[in-house]
Amino acid sequence: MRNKATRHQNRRKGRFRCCSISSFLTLAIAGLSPTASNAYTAAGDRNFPANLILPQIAPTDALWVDFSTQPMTNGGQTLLTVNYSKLLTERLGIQIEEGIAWKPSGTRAQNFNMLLQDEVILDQSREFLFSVQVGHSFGASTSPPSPVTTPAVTFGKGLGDLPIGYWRPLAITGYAGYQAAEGARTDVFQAGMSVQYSIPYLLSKVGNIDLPPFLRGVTPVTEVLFTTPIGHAYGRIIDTTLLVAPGIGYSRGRGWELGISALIPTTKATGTGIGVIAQLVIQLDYLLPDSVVGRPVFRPTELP
Amino acid sequence: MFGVLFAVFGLTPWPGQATAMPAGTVIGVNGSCTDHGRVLNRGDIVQIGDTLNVPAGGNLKLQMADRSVVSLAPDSIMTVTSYGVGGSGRDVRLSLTQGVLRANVTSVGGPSTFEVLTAAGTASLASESADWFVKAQPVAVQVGVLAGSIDLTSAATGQSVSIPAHWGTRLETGLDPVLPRIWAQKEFNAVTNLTGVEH
Repeated sequence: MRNKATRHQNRRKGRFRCCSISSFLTLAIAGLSPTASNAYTAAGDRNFPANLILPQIAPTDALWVDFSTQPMTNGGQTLLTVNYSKLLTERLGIQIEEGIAWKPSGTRAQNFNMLLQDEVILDQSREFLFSVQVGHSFGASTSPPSPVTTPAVTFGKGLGDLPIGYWRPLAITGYAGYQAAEGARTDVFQAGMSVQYSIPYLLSKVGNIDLPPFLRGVTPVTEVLFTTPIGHAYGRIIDTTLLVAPGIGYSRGRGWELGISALIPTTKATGTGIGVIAQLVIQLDYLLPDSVVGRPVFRPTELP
Repeated sequence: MFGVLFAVFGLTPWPGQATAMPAGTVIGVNGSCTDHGRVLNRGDIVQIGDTLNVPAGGNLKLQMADRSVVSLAPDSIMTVTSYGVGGSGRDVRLSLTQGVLRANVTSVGGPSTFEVLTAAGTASLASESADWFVKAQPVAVQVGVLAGSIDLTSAATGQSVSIPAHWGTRLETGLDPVLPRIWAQKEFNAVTNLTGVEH
């Protein structure tokens, strides 16, 4: 889904001097977005909800569907994306993504993306995790194909270990990646962060507050995604983009999670109007815990 | 011998259980584990209403009337509040005051209730059978599930979560349960080691 958001931005920002190649470049830059991976994850008692425009901060066994729509200079764009994430080990996972885009110019498949992600640090007591990843977008939906490779890092940090009372449900997640394009296309640096306040964490770790049932599962989240071109411009102007996505995640720990956010472009290059994105996450590791789709392929030795 | 005892005494209808009824048999013991001050040995019968005390460095393993196996880690105190098993089903309540308990609960015909009560809340069997841990701490309880499914309900708020196999969670006294998460194998191995008994 972050892919989609990024694509929104990049398509808008791609106001190239060379009109004859604008379409090609737009699609190429669209492919530069990091592979989306927006399921849930946890560190200790901290459950990080699914990000909607930023990547997942750790690998998982999950399936999720994103739907987004946003006004653009040349009309609206609607995206439907399906992601599947599979753990190979407890810390290492792969992810694939495919989708459909509806635009005024027609309907087409999105670029096929793959991601390999490794959770290298998991500190349960400090509610902290850090992952490294490398994603590849095959760019097959463009002509000619515009593949890109994106090494990146992600992290999540809950503030529950700090003596800050009712601020303890706060958490932040972050992302930084470098999209290296193949051929005569501009590389792009991307970075983003989210700030979230978990009501489930508030009720389970901080205080017993009487709230309506729906609110007990809500986590307000605001995500911000920033992109800027790096290196050789190949005679084109590619603007920096900044997208803000305030919204909520909803989970009661029953194997699914729902998220919805507004997509607010903050610069002309980012977009022309407010869009919306929604996401449903199916936690396969929760719903099918004993099956091969719900458990890592390779697992440590279990004691009897 | 104990099978006969269970057949005669243990397989009673579970409604209206009386105390001083056989609930299980000691099948493994390390250290000076006691039952109301009486030192337990392998083969001893544990009755409904008994409070079992496992000292530091000790372990205790019980074969229960329904063939379930309950293991207690060092520094654990557990009371067999009720243990009714019969043709009409199962109704079991264990109170864990402190320490770690592992319950490998078998499947039985009919309605089944298998609960472990702690100060913070109650962990109850939500599937036909399960293999699970309960760790009772002064202000919290932690539950990890190796197989099956367990519900954890807060005594204070009544809110509950369902914990599937390979997941676990925590409940602090007076609050809602924390949303479950996957437990790493090393977390399970740690509690498995705690409740292991050398025969």
